[in-house]
Amino acid sequence: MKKYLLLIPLLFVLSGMHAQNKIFDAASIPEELRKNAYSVVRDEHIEFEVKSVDKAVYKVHRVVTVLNENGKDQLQFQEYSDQFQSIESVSIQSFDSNGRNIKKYKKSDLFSQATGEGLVPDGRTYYMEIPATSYPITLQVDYEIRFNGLLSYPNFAVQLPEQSVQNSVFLASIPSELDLRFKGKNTSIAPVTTDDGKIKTYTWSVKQLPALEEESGSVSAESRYPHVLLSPNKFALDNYPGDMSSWESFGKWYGSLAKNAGNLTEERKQFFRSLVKNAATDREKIRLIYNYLQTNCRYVSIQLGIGGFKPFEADFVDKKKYGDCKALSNYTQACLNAVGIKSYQALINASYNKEPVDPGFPHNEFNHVIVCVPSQKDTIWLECTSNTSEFGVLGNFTENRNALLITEDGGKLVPTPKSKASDNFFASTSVIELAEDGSGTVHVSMHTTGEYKDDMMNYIGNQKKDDQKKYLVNYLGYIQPDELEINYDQADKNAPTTLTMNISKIPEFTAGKKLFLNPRIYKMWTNALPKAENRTQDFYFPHPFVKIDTTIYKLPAGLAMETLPKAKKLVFEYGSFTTSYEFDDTKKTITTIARLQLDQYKIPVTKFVATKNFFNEVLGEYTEKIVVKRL
Amino acid sequence: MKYLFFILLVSASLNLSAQKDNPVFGKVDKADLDMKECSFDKSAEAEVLFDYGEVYCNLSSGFLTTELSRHVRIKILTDNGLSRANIKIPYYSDRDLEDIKNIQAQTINVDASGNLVFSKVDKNLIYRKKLNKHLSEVIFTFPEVKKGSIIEYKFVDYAQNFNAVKNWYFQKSIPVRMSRYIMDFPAELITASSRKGELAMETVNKHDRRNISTYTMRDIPALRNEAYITCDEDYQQQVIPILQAVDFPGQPRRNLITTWQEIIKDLMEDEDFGTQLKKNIPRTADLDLMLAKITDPYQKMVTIHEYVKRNMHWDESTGIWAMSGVKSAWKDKKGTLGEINLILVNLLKDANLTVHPVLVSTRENGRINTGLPGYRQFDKVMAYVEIDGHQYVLDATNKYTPAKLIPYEVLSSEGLVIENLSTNQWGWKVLYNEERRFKNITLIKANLEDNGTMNGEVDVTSYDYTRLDRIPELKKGKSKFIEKYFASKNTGIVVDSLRVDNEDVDSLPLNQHAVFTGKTSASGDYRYFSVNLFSGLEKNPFLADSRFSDVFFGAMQNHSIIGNFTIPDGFVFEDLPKNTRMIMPDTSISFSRIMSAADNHLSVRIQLDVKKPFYTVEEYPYLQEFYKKLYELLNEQVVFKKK
Repeated sequence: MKKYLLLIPLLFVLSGMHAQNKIFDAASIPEELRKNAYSVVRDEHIEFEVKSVDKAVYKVHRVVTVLNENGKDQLQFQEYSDQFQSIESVSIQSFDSNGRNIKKYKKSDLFSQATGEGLVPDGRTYYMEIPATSYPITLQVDYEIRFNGLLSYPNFAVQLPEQSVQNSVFLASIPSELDLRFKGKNTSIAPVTTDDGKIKTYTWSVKQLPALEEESGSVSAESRYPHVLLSPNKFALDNYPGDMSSWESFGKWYGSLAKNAGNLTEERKQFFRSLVKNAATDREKIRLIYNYLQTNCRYVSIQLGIGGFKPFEADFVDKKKYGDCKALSNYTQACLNAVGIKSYQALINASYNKEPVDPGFPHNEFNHVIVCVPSQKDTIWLECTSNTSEFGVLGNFTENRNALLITEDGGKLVPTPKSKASDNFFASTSVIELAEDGSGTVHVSMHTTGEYKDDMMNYIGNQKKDDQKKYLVNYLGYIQPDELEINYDQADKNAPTTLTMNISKIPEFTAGKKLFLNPRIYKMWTNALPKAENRTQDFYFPHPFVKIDTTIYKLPAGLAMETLPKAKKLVFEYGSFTTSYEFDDTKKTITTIARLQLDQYKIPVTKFVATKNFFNEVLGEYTEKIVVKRL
Repeated sequence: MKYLFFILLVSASLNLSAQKDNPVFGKVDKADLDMKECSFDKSAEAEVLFDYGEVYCNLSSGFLTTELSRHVRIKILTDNGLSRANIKIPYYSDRDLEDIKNIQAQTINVDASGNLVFSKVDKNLIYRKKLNKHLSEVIFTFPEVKKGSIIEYKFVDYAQNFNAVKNWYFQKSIPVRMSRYIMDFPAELITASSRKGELAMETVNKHDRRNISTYTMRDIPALRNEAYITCDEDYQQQVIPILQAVDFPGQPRRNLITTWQEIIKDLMEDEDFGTQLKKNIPRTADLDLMLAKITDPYQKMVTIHEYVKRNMHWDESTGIWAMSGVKSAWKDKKGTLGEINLILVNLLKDANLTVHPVLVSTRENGRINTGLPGYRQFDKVMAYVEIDGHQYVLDATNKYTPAKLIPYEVLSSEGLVIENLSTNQWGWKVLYNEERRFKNITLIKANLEDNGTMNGEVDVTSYDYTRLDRIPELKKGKSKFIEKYFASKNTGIVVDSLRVDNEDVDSLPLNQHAVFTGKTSASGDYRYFSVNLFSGLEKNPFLADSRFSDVFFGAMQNHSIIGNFTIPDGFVFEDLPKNTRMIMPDTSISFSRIMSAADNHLSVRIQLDVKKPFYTVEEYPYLQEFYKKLYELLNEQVVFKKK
């Protein structure tokens, strides 16, 4: 899902200003800064000068040594430019390990490409990858960006993954009467400030920071590594002035952009009223409107200028039947309004491993809009960009965050619900008619909800047979079928997906007269978790879940039961795994039942070892076999 | 000769009334509105009902212009197909070479009472975006699109010169019911076409005052991603228009199609190519010193190749030209691929080796059409050396490929060796050396303990192309290398230590010695383990039942697994997996497995040999069947239990 809307200036990467001592040779990097590091920031000086409410200059001087090929991301220069920010000058020089200059590049050497997530974004990216024949290689990068319209200020990204810092300074200056706000994240560095009554300055400096190791499955890098958030009090974008000093005032600004955008013709209002006229409850009415939206409108991203923040009018979406997340949310709100249901648009920072925005620091980190229908006991959240999402269920994309409701009184920060294990449900029943030669016919019925339903929609629904097969074999771990028949109901989301397969070899392997059967013909869990030694970060699963499997082997006359694995019951703090095996002598059927549950997706680092061990045992269970023998 | 040629023509005005039988905009078949699925691809998310393009070449103004009138109609069949309603039309906006005009687009739906509803795309919702210096894009999206809608759009691409004459792709990522391409040229311009793909195509040629060729294909299946494919575009059904000659009354006919001989002749005289082969590159003392001690021509070649690889910094740009000249590149120690490899040719020549430049097309660039002379088909130049009847193909920009291996990206392709025509040393060469293979030997020795653990050591020896595959991973760091080749594929295996020898000695195989611990599995009284460990043969790449493209391995393959396993005292082996030999009907792939147990020792020998570098689509069903059995056999485990 790539449904981002708000443009967050990601001034994260390469940064700096006037060079001091020419420390271009790699040999002088102290040993402690090499440990775990792919690159070293040798000297960095960033100056962010706010001139007025909507004008600023951002100057970067930066010397970075890339120690080996793993750090080659740092050899890329990449900056974004649009009508609100322009790249003024760029100079890049590369130096070999002895500090000898290899080459100089300027702005005209950069490639530029129109980019963005949407169909019609209006930004451009300037980029270049500086070639390296050998490592270490050192780059000196100087560039300047001018802002003409400011909603957020650039962060001071102190340190990136696998990067150490020798010396780095970030200086922000601003007219005193405007002033700025800041907040350190994962760092306690405090700025030195000056104020002459006209201009106020803040200077953060760091020295000799060793590299932090990258750990997979952690929260997104921008939430995890040391950085200082900066945010304006007053701002203006495209001549729309606003106030960021409180959530309330920021919400007011955002709401003013969408003012009058909720227009629908009287005729269409009437249409929606008649659409819901038989609904007994508000919940039912909302469901009908949401269903109308899902079956009639589609998501298309079109972002031009202030359009990155300002939605298309409801009337436009009503006629054209498409829009981006802002437009579709605005439209949903207008439709609900027409049937007398009050709802709010809600800004959110979407992506599965994002931390909720900090309530104590009003700041624009939002990139998505959803709709909230508030109620005393049954608040409903609606994701308006998906044609497949279930009514009232937020996916891992937006759950467990702080959303900014745009109310008539301004913005209000409220938490979105945490998803429960039972929201993502995967239940599979397989009946395997085993033949004496080890071949078999398999009937599978899969019932899914939440993220698993999405998977079914994306990988099974409307896919080519060969792609469906790849998904079943490579991702769910099915035995390769010779023949495969898949049935699913596109219209009825609650209908199960069924598979009928002919498999030439059901047993994992045979030894003499013995057939070794897997506990089930696919894997409930497929991958080991990343290494646990010295982990420092919390671990994020994509989502919590419940998986239930029932597998029934029907034995033919020529085969007899020999050994069943032992039943298991594993429990850890955030989940459980139980299995049971049973042989019915009269029907000659083996029934295995397994249930795997994970209660929450975020695992504190202190519990990671236990979590990893738990999933290793789940993986291990699949290696146990049911043994049957030929008579 | 590197620039698009420009024909300035003076000529009388020509008949403009070319016959037109375009489908009519807005006139749709009711059956198409009612249809629920593509008749020849039930799972398709959308179907192109027709894709109609007519390119018209106009000489009337004295300047050559071309215009392509395009009309496309698409049926949306499923929700996944909705994204097909987002349209992007790229064009060359640089120097106004091309412009897209007369855009019309609309969605067609049927309302509840069965009436057609047309929803037009508003003009102000058609956007233009500049992509980069050369390219722009027209972008729009259709209104009121849902499952079942038909969308259609048409436009005219007006261009200077031949810029509107492009390859016509009949095949798309969704099925196409009908695709038609018409080339309408004045009789003075003699055209022809070349094509790729083998599906049935109707061709109608009319010659009058204008030459009109019509190419039509029907029921074209969707293009797909497949494992071991060479170049997607090689398989996409297409026609490639070619301008052969200009023939004006009263003027001599000017042939625009050249021969390979002419191309070679031109190249040898070109100051950015042939002339660069005669430059005396100033010798460097260190290279001279190294060469002074060597008499063996092969060693000389290797020394020079390594020297250029190490000392020349490649700026990542490809192509066959040495625009800034080899001398200046040599002085700066950096250059384009053309410069670096022509330097290599110069130095090898100076050392009295038999060497010529060879023009190649990498797999990504697509297969060479030797019947269609043109240097633009090539994307790289390399050095072609002959020593004692052996061929070597060297690319000094390719860091990890040693002189003895033909670069994988051109392996098994045809290259054009360039030399003075008089010497007869020029011509096509198949770049292939069957001695160099994917070769991997896995030697395992493991003890299985009573407590269920497995302790062992493994020696993996990777030769030639297997070695070449692994080196870039190794350069990413040992832990990533272990993860990729040792740990991730073998559940429950922990590598305690890994020693890698010959990482930087590319004449020798890569030796990887690992000490590992693992676990045996158990069920009831039975314990079992897999012997297919660390071999790299874990996942069957050929699951798909159908295939469009040939299977390209590039080189032959030899995989061996030799294992010695000891089970604890007091245990015995159950019946072992059967000794098996399996062979492809054409004998090109063979697999054998021999296991023998003596007391509590098991020795295993598994051998897989693939003796063909590629397989055609027709052979795929055999390959698929073979691989299915192969992976079943590889996954069989060895069972033992207490006495």
